[in-house]
Amino acid sequence: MKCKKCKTKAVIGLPRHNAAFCKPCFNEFVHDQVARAVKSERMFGPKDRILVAVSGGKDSLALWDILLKLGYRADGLYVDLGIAGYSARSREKVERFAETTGKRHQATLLIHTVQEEEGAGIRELADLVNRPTCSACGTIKRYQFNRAAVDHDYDVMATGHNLDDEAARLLGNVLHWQEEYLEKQGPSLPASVEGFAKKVKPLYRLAERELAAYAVLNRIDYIVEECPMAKGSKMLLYKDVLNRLEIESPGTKQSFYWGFLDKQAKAQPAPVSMAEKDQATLHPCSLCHQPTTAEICSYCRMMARAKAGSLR
Amino acid sequence: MPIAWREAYHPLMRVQLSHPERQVEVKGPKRVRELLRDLNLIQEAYLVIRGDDLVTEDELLKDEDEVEVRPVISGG
Repeated sequence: MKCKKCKTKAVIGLPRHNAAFCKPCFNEFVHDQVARAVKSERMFGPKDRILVAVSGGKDSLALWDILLKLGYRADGLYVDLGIAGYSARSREKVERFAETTGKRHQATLLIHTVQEEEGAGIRELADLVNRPTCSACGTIKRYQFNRAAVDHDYDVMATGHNLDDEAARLLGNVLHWQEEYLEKQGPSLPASVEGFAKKVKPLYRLAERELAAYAVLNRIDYIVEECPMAKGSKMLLYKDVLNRLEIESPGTKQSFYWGFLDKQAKAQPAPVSMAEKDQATLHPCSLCHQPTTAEICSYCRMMARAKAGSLR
Repeated sequence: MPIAWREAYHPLMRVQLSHPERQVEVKGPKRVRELLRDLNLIQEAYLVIRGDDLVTEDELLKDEDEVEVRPVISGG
């Protein structure tokens, strides 16, 4: 297989683009896709300070690497969830990346440890509040990332969600007609109210396999093992289904998700109406002052239940 | 070369798999796409790495190769 651009030996084939690339041309393709995403969704500019949510996995480390190489001012935030063994191994990958590539680009790494802040790890907290671990984990990560971005005055928070993540989530939401979630599925969400950081997903144009290839080709040492909590998750099932369709019909994932974004953009001027909607429904949590639709936000409610549970 | 002798003394391609971590031996030569098909794995969810290098689906793998078939899909 030959590189579509320079005709040398290719290292990866991309059926959805009817292309194959050598390493330098593939890196250029990846950087170009991220630059296009940033520009078309008005994610951030060269002067903005970006906080990248890093987990130690391929997507978030690749994202941090790409943003730094594109010349953006990007720092990392790692949230240590206290999952026995797994968290220590993933944290080590993040720290090593920060000490090498991060340092070269004058980027810093922030670390939040759930165990230190709340007195228990994610598994224990989920048990205490009687919620599935992945759902409690989602609440904790969203809260921690948003709070860190706001407290440290970052202009925008970036996550490593890729095309497969977004297509799988869209499939799940459509299968269950969770229309209220569809509005929030865009790759750029505004800082609609005080206390809410702007959130962006610069990797939404790249498939999961392409990001793994980018990490391997650029010697980014990431955690290959799966989070032990994710076993049997619905997301894995949706991704598998979509990949089976993709094999039969290359381009299915991008036409599904990008098609949805096109329709959404045509249907309504989303950022304005979403900001207005948020401003009408959100107000500061009476305990921590983060935005919420309730009197007390779901994070504080969860921690209060966890604390009550642990006293029993 | 008698087949029995070949099988006894000729090394087979070693293939590293994950989730769960294990190693299997596969008879080469074999194209990457055939290896994935034989292992019942879909191309879109895996990368094939020979030594330190990524290889494309049409690449021919040989008995002396050390190969990793790395899953790329995560549940988060």
